[in-house]
Amino acid sequence: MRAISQLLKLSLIRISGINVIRFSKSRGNQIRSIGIILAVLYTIGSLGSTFYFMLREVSRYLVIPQLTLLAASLFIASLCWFCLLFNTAGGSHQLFLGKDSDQLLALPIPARALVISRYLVLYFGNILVILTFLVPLLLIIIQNVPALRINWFMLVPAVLALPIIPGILGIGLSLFFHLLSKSVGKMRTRVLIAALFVAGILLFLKFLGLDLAAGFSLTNIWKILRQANKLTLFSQLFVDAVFLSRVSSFLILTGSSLLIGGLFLFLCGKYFMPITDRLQRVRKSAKAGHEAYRSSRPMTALIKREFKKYFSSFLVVSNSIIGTVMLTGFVIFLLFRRDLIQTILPLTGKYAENTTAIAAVIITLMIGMTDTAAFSISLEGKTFPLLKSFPVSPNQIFISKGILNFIITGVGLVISLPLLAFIFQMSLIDITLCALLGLSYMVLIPAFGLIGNLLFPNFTFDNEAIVVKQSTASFIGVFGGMLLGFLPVLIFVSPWNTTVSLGIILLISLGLNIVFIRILSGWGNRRFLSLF
Amino acid sequence: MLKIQNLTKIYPGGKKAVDDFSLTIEPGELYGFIGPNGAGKTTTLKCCSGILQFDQGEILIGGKSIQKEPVACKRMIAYIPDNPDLYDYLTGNQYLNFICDLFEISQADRQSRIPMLAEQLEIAASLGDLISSYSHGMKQKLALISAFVHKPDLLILDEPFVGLDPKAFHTLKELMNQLCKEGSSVFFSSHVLDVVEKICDKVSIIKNGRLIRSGKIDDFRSDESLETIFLELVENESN
Repeated sequence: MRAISQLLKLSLIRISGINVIRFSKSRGNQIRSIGIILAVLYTIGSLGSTFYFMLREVSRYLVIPQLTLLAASLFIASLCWFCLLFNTAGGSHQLFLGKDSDQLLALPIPARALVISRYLVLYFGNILVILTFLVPLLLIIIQNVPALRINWFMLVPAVLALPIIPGILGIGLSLFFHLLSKSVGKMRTRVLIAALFVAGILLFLKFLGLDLAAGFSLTNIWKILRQANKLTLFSQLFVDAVFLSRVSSFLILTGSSLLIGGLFLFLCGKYFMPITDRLQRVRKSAKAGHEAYRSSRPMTALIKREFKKYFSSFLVVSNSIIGTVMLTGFVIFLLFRRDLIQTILPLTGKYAENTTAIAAVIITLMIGMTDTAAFSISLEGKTFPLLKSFPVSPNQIFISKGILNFIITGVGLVISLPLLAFIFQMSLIDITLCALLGLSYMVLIPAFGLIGNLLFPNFTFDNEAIVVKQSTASFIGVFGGMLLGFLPVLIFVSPWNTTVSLGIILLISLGLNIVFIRILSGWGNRRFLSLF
Repeated sequence: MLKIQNLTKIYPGGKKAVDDFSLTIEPGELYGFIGPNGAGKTTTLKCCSGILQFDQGEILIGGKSIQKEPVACKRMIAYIPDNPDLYDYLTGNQYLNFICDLFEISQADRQSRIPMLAEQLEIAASLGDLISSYSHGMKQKLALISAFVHKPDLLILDEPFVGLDPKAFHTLKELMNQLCKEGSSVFFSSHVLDVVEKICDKVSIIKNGRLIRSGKIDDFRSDESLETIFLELVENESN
């Protein structure tokens, strides 16, 4: 027990950054750590309160107890799914491949204590999320549905039991995929995951009996919800225990969770070493030895490296390419549902006629929302000094990072623009201007992102997600990019006709390009050399 | 080949890591750089390789200023850091090819030099694997190949012997000697005083950012071992 509590203390110190706040000599690091704690508290508070106010509005329609129970079941089911997915995302790594595993195992600590302490960190993370959403739900039910009485005695054990089995299933799934990738390779495993994902969605739809042709009538949605609810037995057990005071449901929920949880920790502790050994095993390349070395120019080599770096991480790609994928997907969707345009456009009033401006906004927004350059310098991490030691100028490095973004957004532009031109029946001059505006933005957005990243670099991170999603530079890149993406909205209020206005927006973006590029080649170079 | 003149580097927060440091390395010289932990060795080496900017002084490589012509200077040097953080997402072969591209090594040269160096350092069989699967020593070996493959005029190494197996340790000494015989210079820091004593032509001792003593290795070891002299000098400086 002492070992477990010490290990938990260690995790708490690491996660909270409390030692940085207490002992760091750098004021900046202290403020950053306090900021992270405040940001987490703010996120929990804002999510919980937003959910509360949302439920309060919705609860006006959920006064029938049966309906409330169904809604609560669905809601609890989604929390179970969250625990499953959250633990699938990294549960097995958290348990078996902690960076400090070797150091800790060298100490007189049994492997089981290590597993239990790490599992508890994951478990408390799940509990925190469940409470963030469950508390508002319970408050709303107490206030608005007096017919439903909460069984307080069963509530606490049921909440504590709820994340155990879904979480363990998630860890098991994650472990299975990691072990599989060690034996058959990453690519084949990813293909299998994608195939399972598609099969899962198809099975889900089949299970729901979803009939798209029947349309989204209230009866149809009601039928689907009832069917979906059956998918998660656990949510039903929880609802039965807490809201209907069914002792049998309560005993099944808590008993099975304790049993499976205990068995899991026992087996994991016992097989900890063989599992970590398997996970750490290196899969030898089929191409051992030397390959034909093909020469490229330094600039090409830098660009190739950027591509390999970017596409080597699924996490980085999935979190940064979303803007281009979403809007390109939206444009393709519009192509098949042109009837929707006739329904949606009149809602925009007098702006409905200006379809060219709408096309321009879609294009600039698509490019503005994808800024891989905004975190690309930070993403170098510990290898940043290596990059600085190469015989290339900072400008060459900036260009290589910009070209990655240029090509990614370029693919979106090449697909979207012809489709938009077809959907909105644009004139040739407007198509040309939109294409030029797109090209200009493809330079403007990464240049802007690079400036942000040079201002706020972060080379010390444990997880790429911190840099890609949570760093100051990425915030600036995303929000600044979106702001710039909305620039063509000015066409709607412009006193000139659309083509002239589009031309002016193009000139403004070119002007901004010149300013940003000048900043990068002057201050940016000096800043790059002074970093680290 | 390398001329450091009155180098001063102050870190944010006011800590003077290097203080008025001067040194000259001639072509063909193998130069050792020793000092206690935190003395300023790594900072000096990083300044020489263009990774860190400095506050005062000048560093000339082949007569060119590292601050005024950084790219031209970096083309002449190879730098191996104390902790080889390489690109985990590349394979060993891809990394070496990338380095050869940056230094514009011809295809024929890379086809002949890479296999030879890889065989010498016994890492040839692993070059097709991702760097993320390499051990510390293997990364160090890969970093060494990337440095020797473009035959630099000045090789700068920070603690190059850490993590190497005895065979690789020996090979590295041979490669460094060979490079110097071909007219290049080697400037390296190390805590392995025996090696410094055996292979270096000259040595410098640094403490608290200041040069305590430098000169030919023979002048150092007239009566006592380098280790004894080093300990005495460092001790005297503390008092």
